[in-house]
Amino acid sequence: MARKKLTRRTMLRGGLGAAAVSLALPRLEAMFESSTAFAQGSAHPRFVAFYVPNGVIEERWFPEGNASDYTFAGTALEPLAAHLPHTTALRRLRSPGTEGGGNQHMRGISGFLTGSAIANDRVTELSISIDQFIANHYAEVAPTPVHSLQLAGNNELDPPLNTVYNNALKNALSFDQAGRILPNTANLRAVFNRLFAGVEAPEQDLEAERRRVMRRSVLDSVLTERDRLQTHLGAADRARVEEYFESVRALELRIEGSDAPIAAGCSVPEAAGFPEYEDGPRLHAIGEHARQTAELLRLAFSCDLTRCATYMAGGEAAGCSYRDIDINQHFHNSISHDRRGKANLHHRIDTFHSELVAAFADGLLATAEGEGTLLDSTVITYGSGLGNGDSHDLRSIAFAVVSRLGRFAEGRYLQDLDQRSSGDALMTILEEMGLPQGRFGDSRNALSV
Amino acid sequence: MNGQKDLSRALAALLLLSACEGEIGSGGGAAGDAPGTPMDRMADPSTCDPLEHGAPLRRLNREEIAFALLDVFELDMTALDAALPRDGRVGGFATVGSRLSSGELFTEAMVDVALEAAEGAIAAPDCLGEAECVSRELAPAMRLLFRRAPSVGELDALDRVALDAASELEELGLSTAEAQRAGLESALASIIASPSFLFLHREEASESARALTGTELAERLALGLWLSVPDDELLTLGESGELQQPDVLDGQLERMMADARFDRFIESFVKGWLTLERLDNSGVDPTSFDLSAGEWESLLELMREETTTFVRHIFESDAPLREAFTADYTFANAALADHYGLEGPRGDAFERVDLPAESDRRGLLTQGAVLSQATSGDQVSVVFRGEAVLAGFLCDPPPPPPESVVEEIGEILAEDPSEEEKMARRAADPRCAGCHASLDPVGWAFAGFDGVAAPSALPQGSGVLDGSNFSGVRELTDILTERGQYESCFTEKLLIHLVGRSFRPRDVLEDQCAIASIATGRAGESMRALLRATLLSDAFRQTGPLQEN
Repeated sequence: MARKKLTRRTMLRGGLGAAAVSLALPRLEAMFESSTAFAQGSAHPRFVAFYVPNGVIEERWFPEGNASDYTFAGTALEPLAAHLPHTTALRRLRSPGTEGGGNQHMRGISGFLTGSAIANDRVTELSISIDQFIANHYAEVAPTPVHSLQLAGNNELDPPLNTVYNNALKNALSFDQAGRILPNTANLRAVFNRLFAGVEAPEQDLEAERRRVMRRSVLDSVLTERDRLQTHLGAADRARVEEYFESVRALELRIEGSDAPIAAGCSVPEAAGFPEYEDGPRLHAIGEHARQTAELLRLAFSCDLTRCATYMAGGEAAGCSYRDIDINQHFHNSISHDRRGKANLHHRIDTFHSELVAAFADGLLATAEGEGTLLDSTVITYGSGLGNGDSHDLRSIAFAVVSRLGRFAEGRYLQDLDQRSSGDALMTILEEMGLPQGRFGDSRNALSV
Repeated sequence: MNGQKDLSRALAALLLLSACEGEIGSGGGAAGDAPGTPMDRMADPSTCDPLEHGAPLRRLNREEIAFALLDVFELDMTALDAALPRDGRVGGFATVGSRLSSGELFTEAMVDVALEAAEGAIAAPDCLGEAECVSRELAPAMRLLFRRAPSVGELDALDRVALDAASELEELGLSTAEAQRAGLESALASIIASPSFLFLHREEASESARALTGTELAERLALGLWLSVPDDELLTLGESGELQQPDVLDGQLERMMADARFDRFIESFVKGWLTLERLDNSGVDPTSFDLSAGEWESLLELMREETTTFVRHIFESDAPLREAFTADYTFANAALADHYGLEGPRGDAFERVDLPAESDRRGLLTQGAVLSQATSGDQVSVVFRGEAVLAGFLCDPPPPPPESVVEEIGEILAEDPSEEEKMARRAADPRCAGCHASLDPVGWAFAGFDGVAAPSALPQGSGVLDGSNFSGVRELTDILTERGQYESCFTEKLLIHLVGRSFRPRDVLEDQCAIASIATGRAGESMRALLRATLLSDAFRQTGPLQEN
């Protein structure tokens, strides 16, 4: 199989390698040997975020104990106990949103992967999120058939009781290069079809080929109208029509198939495990959905069909209940804001999210890749843009990384990061993935994990 | 133009300073009689300045796409409607361009919908394979979908699309007939996926306010009243310009409102006006009200039907708009009546139910589809109930609490005080008292109803509003309807739906004037009369040079 080899050097050239060298602040301590896994590895590092809305019960999310002696027992991270050796728990990171304005939910989610703060909750643009930054980089130097995935168990914009807050920022986890919010989807069948569209040899299936030809002819035809329509429109109007043309063009590229090679031995799995889910309506039991998503990502990663994905259990201030663990109440309104009465339920939800992350990590760890496993090249970022949900705490959020890539392979518990921005942790992730940056979002300095 | 902006800013600043002055209408709103409200600064509505604003360019929303395909091809598009992603809404309405995104999620679904529709839309004509067959066959549908005659170049392109797709498919092994059929479908799908169908017309920008062209007017009417593209008659009148003549326009309004398609307007407008989409993701915890999740879902379905049936009745009976708030009847079947504690209906079918005099139920405000929107989890919030009324029916939402207060609210809630305690604290705190002087009594009036609109264990709430004592919803609605503000508010909602932009009468003089010029002097008139007045207004028939939101 021919594929462009991506060396660490080319990645450094792509990133701001020079600027990164001068990482200014003194390292807290040299806790890790310098990163080696990526430089030696043959796989391209992957990035996954698992996002939890509405905050957590912070004091029961992180372990007690100290950096050299701690366990996950009794905490929300307990289901990740088997992954403790390669879990990095980062406590007392602040949300980048502390520097901004607007509703705390929206500051929390929008800052989580961007490292940036919204000025207020009416904004519609921020800065690129880490998943898109990495995916864009790959698109340049070593493309995959699918650029990236934005997924959600629940993506309805929960109707707010205060009419001010029916706002796309509540679902704003991923942002593109231009800082626009990227929509996400719950529909796993559509994602499945998109991922595996190019995998089977097309000439074997005349019906699929017929559809491909027809779809392409429709897209071509639409694109011929581009010039005519654009001439006399004002800027805002033009941007809306252009958004349509851009997405038509992107679909066309997807159908034409990128140059991205399909890994040898990759075949189309059984689609039945990935049902249709309607976007918008609330899913009251995300467990099954999250496990199906985990399996879909595992398959996609093992075929190298995509390398970046985000998964949002739900949007901020959203009310999905968790019937799969017998919780039938509105997560945000009834549970997260009733600390005295419902803290135990909230903690159960926290623990359940960890179970889902653990199941995903289990799958990656059980899948061989080269001489290692998929987890050796995958960074799972897990957490919430808020700390304690009842008070909308942005000063001490939930943040952990599960991965065997580079320095992450040796798990850590940093108990007091003294309210450094979680954007600093994103810079560390970029560094570990071979894309060190001099700045990301509002951050300038990577954490020395 | 800048003067207008400065004025808006000045008004906005003024509002911010005064926030709420303890009376309804002091947050802005429409023709209130409280002195010092921005409405009083408004010029005489008979001499509004020329429009500065126009609607942002938008694409059709998913209902409109589906109905257009239904009307042009007699295709049942329910499934295709569901295949498209949900549209963003402004104030409940899916007609505002800035919220109708056309990113990859939409576009991918749209291309599939176009191909699927094309498959079922037409029979293969005999001429297939002959030159110009495809364009001849598709031109009439193309004209309707595009709301204009296709150009020669576009027709040529259509034949080329069909021909290219057919020959490629024949090479791949399809039979000639199959390939030609697929070519025809590709051509039709490319019409359906074309921006000329999906996006509204946009003529050259002008420097000042202008009348809509005939075609633009036909398009706006059809989308507004039928949620679809114009039919041949309307489009022809639009193309010739005759539609701009008052008597012709009048005749078309009569025809359109008498047409069966007009019911789409009622359903869609009710959804936007009363923000019924919120019920799709109801924040109610049914278990807190002794209901199973399944019971609550079926009740919600009945509540939607109640409200839609009720508004349809008010509309069709030409009752005054006021009756929507004061009616002493509703529509229910046995299950819903039982939930409400009403007697009468025995079967599954909905029937008119007279509300007993001793009941505090009255009009829209006590219907489940409206009332339960203010329930959050297991919490029945006085504030949210008050806000729903002020925002939804008076278009006068209070500003959100200042940020310094928000954190405190979280702490106070953790102490789990009673609603009465919370109201007392708000009345005593100068940061809160202004807005809550109207929010709280309005919300508290509903104390006799629980979070799912069934009778509660509490007596009906009483209080003082605008200096008048009241007890319960009946007396509250008397006070509210006496103000007359609901007619302006209803007009504002009509305009958002019909024109496709948000109207901000509290901040923008032009919007105040547009609404006042329609609603002033129409006290006691029917929904239909207000709709007609809106359709004949300058705000509907003209557009301004600024295409912002």
